[in-house]
Amino acid sequence: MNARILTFSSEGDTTLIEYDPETADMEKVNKVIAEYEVKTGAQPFDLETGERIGKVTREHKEVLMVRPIAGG
Amino acid sequence: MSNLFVIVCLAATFAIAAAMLYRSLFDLVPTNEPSTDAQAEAEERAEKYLRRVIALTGATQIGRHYCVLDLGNARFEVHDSYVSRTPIGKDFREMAKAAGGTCFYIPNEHMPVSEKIATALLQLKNNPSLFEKWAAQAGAFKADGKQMNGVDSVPTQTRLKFRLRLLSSK
Repeated sequence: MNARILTFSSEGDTTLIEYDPETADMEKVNKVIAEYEVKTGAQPFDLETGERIGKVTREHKEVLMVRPIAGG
Repeated sequence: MSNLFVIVCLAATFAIAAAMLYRSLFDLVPTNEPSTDAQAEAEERAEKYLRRVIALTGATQIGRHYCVLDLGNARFEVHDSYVSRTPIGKDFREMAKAAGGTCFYIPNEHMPVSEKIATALLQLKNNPSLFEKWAAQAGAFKADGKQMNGVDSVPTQTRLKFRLRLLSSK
């Protein structure tokens, strides 16, 4: 089964990248995440445990990019 | 009989004129708001997301747009753009002293309420100290607590409203 990096949106989830965790180049996956973080400030969370992920590994199956929050 | 016919014709004419007037008054300004069906679908999707996040974080949903999350000795009450924090296990006076709240927003103004609550729950569960950063109104913070550049502490709409209020008070 493929793993996915998702961004949640009420208009529909967007898959940033989908890959085979057995064979994928995880450096490349983490690079895509880092680029998205620079652009939006969103950071990866494991959708199975609800915990923030420092670096995505082959064990993560579904990762959600969660937006930053500001005080107002 | 003919009088009734005239009355019906007049009523129909009046209804058509009223509808045309309404359209000309309110349809002139184009809106980017999604249609009702799309909006309902978006809200349903956001609510599913919130239910999933509630299960992951161990929060409790109270009503439609309000969740409670207990973390250590603090209770967070998360609304769509407001979080309050109350210490647990202290006497009433100490609780009242330490209790507080802060408004928050996500730099995406079209986000449904359930999605905002879910985002706040996920972030608080992982990093409860974010509460103080939001309360300090020092801009936007990523989930790891690092500040995000280029985002003001108060959303544009709020600033605009504040400016309008200032202008009207002059």
